[in-house]
Amino acid sequence: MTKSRQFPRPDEVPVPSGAEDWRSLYNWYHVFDGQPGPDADGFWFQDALHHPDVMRPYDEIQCECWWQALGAFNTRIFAVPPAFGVDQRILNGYLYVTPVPAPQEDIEARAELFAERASHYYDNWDDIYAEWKTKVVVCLDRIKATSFAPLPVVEDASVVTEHTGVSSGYRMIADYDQLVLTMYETYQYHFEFLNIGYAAYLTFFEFVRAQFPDIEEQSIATMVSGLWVDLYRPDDEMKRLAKLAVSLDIDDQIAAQTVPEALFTQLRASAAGGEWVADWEATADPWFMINTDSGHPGGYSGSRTLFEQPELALDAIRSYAAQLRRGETVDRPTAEIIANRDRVSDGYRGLLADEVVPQFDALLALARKVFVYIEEHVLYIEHWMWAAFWGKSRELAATLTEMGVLDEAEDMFYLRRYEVMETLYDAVATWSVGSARGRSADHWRPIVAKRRAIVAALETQPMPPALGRPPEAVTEPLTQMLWGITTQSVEQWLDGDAGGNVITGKAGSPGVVVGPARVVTDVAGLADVADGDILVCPATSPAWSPVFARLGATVSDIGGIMSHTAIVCREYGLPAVVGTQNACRRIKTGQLIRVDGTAGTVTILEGDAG
Amino acid sequence: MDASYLEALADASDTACVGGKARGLSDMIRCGLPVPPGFVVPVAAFERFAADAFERGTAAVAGADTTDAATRVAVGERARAGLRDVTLPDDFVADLARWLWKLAPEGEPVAVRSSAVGEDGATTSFAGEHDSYLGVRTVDELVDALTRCWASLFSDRAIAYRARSGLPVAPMSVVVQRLVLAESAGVLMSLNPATGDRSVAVVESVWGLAEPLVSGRATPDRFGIDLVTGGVRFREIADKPTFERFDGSGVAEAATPRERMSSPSLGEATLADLRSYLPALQRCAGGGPSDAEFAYDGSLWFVQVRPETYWSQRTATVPPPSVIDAIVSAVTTKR
Repeated sequence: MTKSRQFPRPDEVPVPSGAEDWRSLYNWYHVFDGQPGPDADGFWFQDALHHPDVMRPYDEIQCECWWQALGAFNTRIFAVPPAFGVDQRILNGYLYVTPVPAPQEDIEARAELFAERASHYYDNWDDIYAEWKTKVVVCLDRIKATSFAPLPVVEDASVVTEHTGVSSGYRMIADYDQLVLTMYETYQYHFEFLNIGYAAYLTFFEFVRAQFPDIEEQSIATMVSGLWVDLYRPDDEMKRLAKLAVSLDIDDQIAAQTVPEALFTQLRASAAGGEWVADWEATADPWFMINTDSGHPGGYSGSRTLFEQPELALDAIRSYAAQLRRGETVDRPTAEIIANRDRVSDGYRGLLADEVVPQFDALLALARKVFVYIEEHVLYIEHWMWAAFWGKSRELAATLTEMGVLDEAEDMFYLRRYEVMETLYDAVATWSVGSARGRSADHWRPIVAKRRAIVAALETQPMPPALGRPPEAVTEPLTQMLWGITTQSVEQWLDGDAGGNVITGKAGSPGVVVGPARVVTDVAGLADVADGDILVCPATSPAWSPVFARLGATVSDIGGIMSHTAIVCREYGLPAVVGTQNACRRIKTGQLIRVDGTAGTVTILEGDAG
Repeated sequence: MDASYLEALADASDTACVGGKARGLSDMIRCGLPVPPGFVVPVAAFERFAADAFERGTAAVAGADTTDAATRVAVGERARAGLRDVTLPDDFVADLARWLWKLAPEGEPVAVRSSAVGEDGATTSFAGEHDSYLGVRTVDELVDALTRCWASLFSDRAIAYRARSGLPVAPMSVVVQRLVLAESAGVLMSLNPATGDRSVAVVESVWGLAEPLVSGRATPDRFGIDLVTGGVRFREIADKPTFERFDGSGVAEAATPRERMSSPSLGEATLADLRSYLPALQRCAGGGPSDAEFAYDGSLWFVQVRPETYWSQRTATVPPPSVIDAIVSAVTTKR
């Protein structure tokens, strides 16, 4: 059989039966329309990194946020020389993207503009970044300040005594507007730093590689990482609470009661327990406002945080406390990590020709500086902001249900965000005039039922990794940098799974380990991990940190050598292979596998690859 | 008899007295590299016992047309015969016997190699133009090998080489060294010769003696050692169907036992050992990149060090003048 050197065109991908009307779930400007034209002729790849699953209509805002903001900062603000934005289209509920190159003839002028503008940020990085944190926290507070309580029968007296002059109904509409717009605003800040940060980081990589052509990427990563960044705080806070529990001698009590609410009530009865619960409460927001999903955090309205699942954080605290009681240390070996980082950096620096040392020093200093942002923005935006946004969205959904506007809270997520606004206008008008019943529930009932069936149908069909005719070579820097997609990976897609027992990824953390696989696709699965298991997962979350101490090695389908998985594994000295794309599908729990974190390969030693 | 004619290899620091080869080995010892033990029969001994034969030979060669092959062969033969006929005094021979016994008390084989003044220099490569004798065990064999080394000053190749290069004929020193019965041997390069990467040392090795590797007849195992992290960056194990070994009298090729054919010719510990000698190697080569030949017989021995010549002479690529220009170029360059 001859292999087709082309992916199916968007109009050639079959629509699963029962999902024929899938376009009605999404904004008309965001879907492949099935018509001939540039969309149908282009090359698109599936953005499984950020949106691996079928999107529900409400969640479409997640990709629209970065669609606009990444584009504006690349194309219009910083004038990244070769790259405009990244265009998006939805097909069968999945997101496909394509980078838009800058016209060749513009590149020189853009380079000049970029140098001028990006320099302003590089030269003033620390000050602008401090402002950035303030701006994002303002957004966070604004979202937290929105309120979606059921509308009252009679307004509170303060509306009159404080002459606020507005009704709760108006405020509900305004708050929803604020919620969506604030999230959209946050993405401006997300890309205010991200791509120029990556550019500086990439430059350091390229510089070192030019000097030392054989260097392992991991060694370059080691020189940059190991910094004290907020992303590690959640795990550190769990360790701190474990220490506090041990010193207050209440860890037995915490170990014995596994129902969080019962535990907190029980603890509050004693002075020591009360102190601990107060500390927990002060810590949980913000440090446990982190997404526990496996994969890119914050991508879906179903995302839940540690804050919403206190049992997970308590589990971790129990296991840390037990370690402490056994006399083990639980602290992140920060001093060792820094010492190793400096040893490696100094080692390579010492091998450079004298005349390039200043360049190395300047690029390394900048790379370390920007890397703090690259790590921390994930906490501020992907974790905190999305956790707050989805939390408030669920609060609104619950309220609309309580008010009888929707049959079930989940129904709201089958509405596009504009449709939610329509619903609010209906609900608020109905409440305002004192009418018996609005029309929303009746209006949406058949539509939501149909959409639920469509989503279920879409979920049954695997989608191609890419669409259309691929370019001869993937040279676009953003595609390579952010998605890790290269000419080689496109070739691999075209060739299909090589089959066999070897799965190739990126060498994330060195070493070789053989052990039983444990495929974990959600946080609940972590409970089954036994000592020495090899974790096979879509990606890890900072909320998963406590499990690393038990692992033999890690394999993650998503991510590059600076991903959370790779960084944490290097710190724990665990071999890791990252970016394996389909290991979760091909490896079964219990199979004996060999992880070579130096070569970036995973070998299935028992049974066949799925 | 004046014992100062012979000197320990470690003390052989004056090139004019001991020749390039001995001087190189003694430098290696001083830099902290393990070198097979040995002693030197210096130029002074040659001048004391072989001066007449040397002068006659030199004059005959100088008077002949050495561009003519037949003439060259004839004068060379006569000159060599003169040096081979030199009679060494009994007390000098007794001295050689004592030093040989100290070096090889159990009658272990030794190697006798010429160490001409002007040989093994950093710029002039005279290597291989003179002779080496392996597997010498008795004092008679040693005396024979010594005079053969001296006579090799007038080998056809040496005469032709001097005629081409214009180098003068100079008196010769001889090195007597324990022969390493190598289990494996190879070359250690302080940078990757394929890429010029100075953060990786490359080791190439084969079973037995290094000669088939050095001459390019055998495909060696290759190991890349990261100089900063110490990790093995790459490891390519070659099929090694044959190897060379010293069979008691000379070098012979043998078939590799099946179980060793595609297994690594160096263990982890030896690789780590090699890595630990890189600073000494660098000192020895004057601070720059270098190549060393080594042999392993349960212990590691270095037999030769040379400065690396290709990458050391290439100028580094000029870095972009500023950080922002580097960034612009990195994001704009297509990969």
